[in-house]
Amino acid sequence: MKQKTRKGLFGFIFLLPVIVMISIFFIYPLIKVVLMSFQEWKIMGGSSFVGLSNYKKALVDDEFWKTLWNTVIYAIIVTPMIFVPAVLLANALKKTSRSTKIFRTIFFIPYAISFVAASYIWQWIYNDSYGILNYILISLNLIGQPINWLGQTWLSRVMVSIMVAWKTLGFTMIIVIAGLQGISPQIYEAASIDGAEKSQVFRYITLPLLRPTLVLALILSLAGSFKAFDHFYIMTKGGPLKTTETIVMYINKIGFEFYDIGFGSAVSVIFLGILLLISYLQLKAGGFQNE
Amino acid sequence: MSRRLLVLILVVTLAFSGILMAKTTLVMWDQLAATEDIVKMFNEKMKAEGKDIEVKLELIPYDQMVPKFMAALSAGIAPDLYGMDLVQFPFFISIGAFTDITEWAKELPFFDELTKGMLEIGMKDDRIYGLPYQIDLSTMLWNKGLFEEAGLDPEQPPQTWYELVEMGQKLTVDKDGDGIIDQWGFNLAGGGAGAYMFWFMPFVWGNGGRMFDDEGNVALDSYETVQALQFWADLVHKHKIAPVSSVQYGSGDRYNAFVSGKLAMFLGGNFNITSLLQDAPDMEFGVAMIPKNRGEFASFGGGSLLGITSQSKNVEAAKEFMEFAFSEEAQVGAFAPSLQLVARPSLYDNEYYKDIPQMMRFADILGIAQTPYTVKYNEIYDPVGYYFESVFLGQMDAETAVRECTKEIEKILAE
Repeated sequence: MKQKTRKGLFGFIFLLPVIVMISIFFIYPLIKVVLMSFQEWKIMGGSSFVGLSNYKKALVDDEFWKTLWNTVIYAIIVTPMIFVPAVLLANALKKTSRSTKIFRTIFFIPYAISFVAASYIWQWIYNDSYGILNYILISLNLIGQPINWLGQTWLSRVMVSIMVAWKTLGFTMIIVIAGLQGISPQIYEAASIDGAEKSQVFRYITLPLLRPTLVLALILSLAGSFKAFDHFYIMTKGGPLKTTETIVMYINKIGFEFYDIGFGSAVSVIFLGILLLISYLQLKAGGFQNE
Repeated sequence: MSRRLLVLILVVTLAFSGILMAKTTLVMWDQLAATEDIVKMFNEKMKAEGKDIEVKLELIPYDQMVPKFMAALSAGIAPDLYGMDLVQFPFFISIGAFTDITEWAKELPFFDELTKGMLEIGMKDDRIYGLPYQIDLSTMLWNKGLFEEAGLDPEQPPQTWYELVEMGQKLTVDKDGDGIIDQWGFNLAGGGAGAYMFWFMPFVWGNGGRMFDDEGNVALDSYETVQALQFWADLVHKHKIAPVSSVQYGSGDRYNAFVSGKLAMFLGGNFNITSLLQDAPDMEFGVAMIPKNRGEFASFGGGSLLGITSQSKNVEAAKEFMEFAFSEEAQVGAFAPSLQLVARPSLYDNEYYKDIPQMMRFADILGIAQTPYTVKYNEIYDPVGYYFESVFLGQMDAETAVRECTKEIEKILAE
């Protein structure tokens, strides 16, 4: 009993740095944001509580719904663009050998670049007068005139998503590889003894056993997509005509450009609620209930 | 007894001089790397003069400029000195974030030299809170080599809208005959309201229009604005001397096109000169006024003002630094070598600018610089960005756009 308490104490001491960090940099700001969302917040002091009026303002604000919608559409486009190639690549590179290690590294490298740098690189690639993409397509006679890739709403959504997929699929791939390697080879052995076909193995063994990993990767990826900011801020600046303005860009604008911190906080809290709901639904769909 | 008193006096004096001798450390925020040199010069000067004042500079990235300041102000830890984008000043003055320096500023020997239009941005009700420190002016640069190739006089940039179109058409060429334009005469300055304010507003001013009247009411809804908007849209859709994509170009896109010889006339500014001399050492380029129509030549006066925040506990020391920052020693010693514009027109005649004719042009441009004054500058960005872009993309007629835009700005100002 005594030893058990000591063990518990040691455990707590090891956890302490993380608890302190999370409390200071996450819990405290979170509480503060919730408090500010009920205030007409003044920079130089003298803020006053205004009840739910910031929330009411958000719910009747056209731009709130518009940017939320833009974000949802983007998440719907980008998620499969990351997931399908990531799972395929993971499957192809799951066995560890010298060549798969090299390819894994190659696919993972873009993930190490910041979104800001990646956005600038791809902005150059996409440029219509000196970008390499148009140059290649024109050289191959695939197009006659250079295309303004970021100039039209749907096209720019897809083109930005391609950049994001290029940048992040390496991370998803690594998570999926870890999941694949966690599946015991004995199960595959048993299946092959029972005479299961490759497609059956994938359908009845790999996919179900991979589900927790896939759900985790999906939550990370969807949450990331919903928080999209840098790449649209740099590559499209929310244009053309605000059609690629995301909700985080909107929050940034209200808070730090319009100085309306109370209203910005309210939109953030609503957005947090939406993210929590999505994560909850995903966990539920992934069979994580009461585990 | 008297000895005891003497000792007491001695102790008290020592204690007080200890307080007096205590180091005064000023914290300064700025975005400009050249300020580092000014701070270094100032600290050395203070040391040499035996004054215990030291300035610590923190360079703040442009996009962190407002969020960091807001956070610091609300926590009561704002820096003593802040060089902040001038268009943000009216708002921060209105909430009391800066110290009134009127009497002191008016006594400064160089006060009358400071650019009036930009100085007014740092004022409220005739009181002064900030002085124009870093100056960025919008202008048009042209590639003389490409002018010559097109059979144009390389020393004569377009002065009027008409000439801009005429020359632009000669400068827009498909060099290899494959049906794709390889070189554009002009690019719109796209990529959002910030760019429209800086480079498009001079077209409105150059046509006799304006954004606000003298009472601060929106005066955008005029034939002059409509005509200017239509003119930019026409450059793309009718005269075809600029690509449609330039509506969304950031200044980096335009700069790259100009450097690589794919753009003949480039809406830029003084901040492009240093990098152009490095990136395109062989290119002959000139600095021109932005072409005008029925009004006068105009330029947007951007950059930053330097002010002392209201949370500074060392206002006197901060003033000493400010006076030094505007001195010839600091301006010519730190700003001029990096081809940063000096804040005082009388200092244009310096050894660093004299071999670079492009720099000398800015003395004239400084004289015509304008900056719109509003405490809701950022908020009016929203309608300006949206409606102007609609016109440039050819999706809305100029008249409707100006009318709707004005309505929204009026609504914002009334709130």
